[in-house]
Amino acid sequence: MTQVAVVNPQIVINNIAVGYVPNSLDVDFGLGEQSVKALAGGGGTVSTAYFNNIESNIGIVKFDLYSLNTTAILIQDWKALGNLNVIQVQGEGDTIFSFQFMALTNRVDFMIGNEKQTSFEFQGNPAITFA
Amino acid sequence: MIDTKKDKSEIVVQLSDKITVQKSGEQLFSNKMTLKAPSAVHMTKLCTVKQIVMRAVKTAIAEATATQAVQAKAIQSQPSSDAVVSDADQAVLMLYMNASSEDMICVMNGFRELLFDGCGLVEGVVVTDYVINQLLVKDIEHLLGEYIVNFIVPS
Repeated sequence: MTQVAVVNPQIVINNIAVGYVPNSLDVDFGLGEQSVKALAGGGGTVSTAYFNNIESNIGIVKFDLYSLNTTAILIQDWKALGNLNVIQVQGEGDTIFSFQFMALTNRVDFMIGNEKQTSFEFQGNPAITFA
Repeated sequence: MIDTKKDKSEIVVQLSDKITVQKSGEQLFSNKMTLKAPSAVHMTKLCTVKQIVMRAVKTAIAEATATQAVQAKAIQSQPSSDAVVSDADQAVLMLYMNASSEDMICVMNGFRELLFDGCGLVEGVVVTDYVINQLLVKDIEHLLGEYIVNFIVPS
């Protein structure tokens, strides 16, 4: 597989492609946080225990949009849907990540003015990959 | 086409490949699209498409009639619009042969607008650019053909 930097992926939310501020997209696939602890076995032996903190298995998608009139409408639609938003991130090389049951969790501060940006953070199910 | 209601207010068309659509928090896959009959709200978007289609049908009928005359066959049974556009794929072929390039672009754009305006649904969701862009050309042509045969010519 050819290795290509993911610099300009497409975001589709609820069947509508969204034009976002370049370099503002931040994705957490929801694979969570794992840790390993040492176990004292006695007699000089040591083994390890593996922990998977499923509390952190949450898919997160963050991005910024310019504060346009269309952005104001999108905010209301996304908030109204609760956690029934779907986000698809399609990167270079046809790699597709789909986040289901996403909720717009942040308090959206709609900045008004020239070239102002509004930040969005969605949280929901871990990503599903379609390659 | 796999299902037709008696009143033909909508038809379900089989697609050759699966497409994905986002609905109620889920990413769904489907290989069917529902086409709804145009209503009064679609009148302005429909009129251009219908005019071009009907012109093409008229040309096709005239050509078929002329061919029959040359072949010295009975003129009593002149070809009708039903004979010219009885099948979806045949209807699109007829359109390609009898409409100009500019008219074909108008028809395709007009058909897309109709689909976006509630005439095209996948899994109950009105299609968008994102959904349409996943379709193969042959599927779009087949959908257009079904729309012509079921909703444009009979109306």
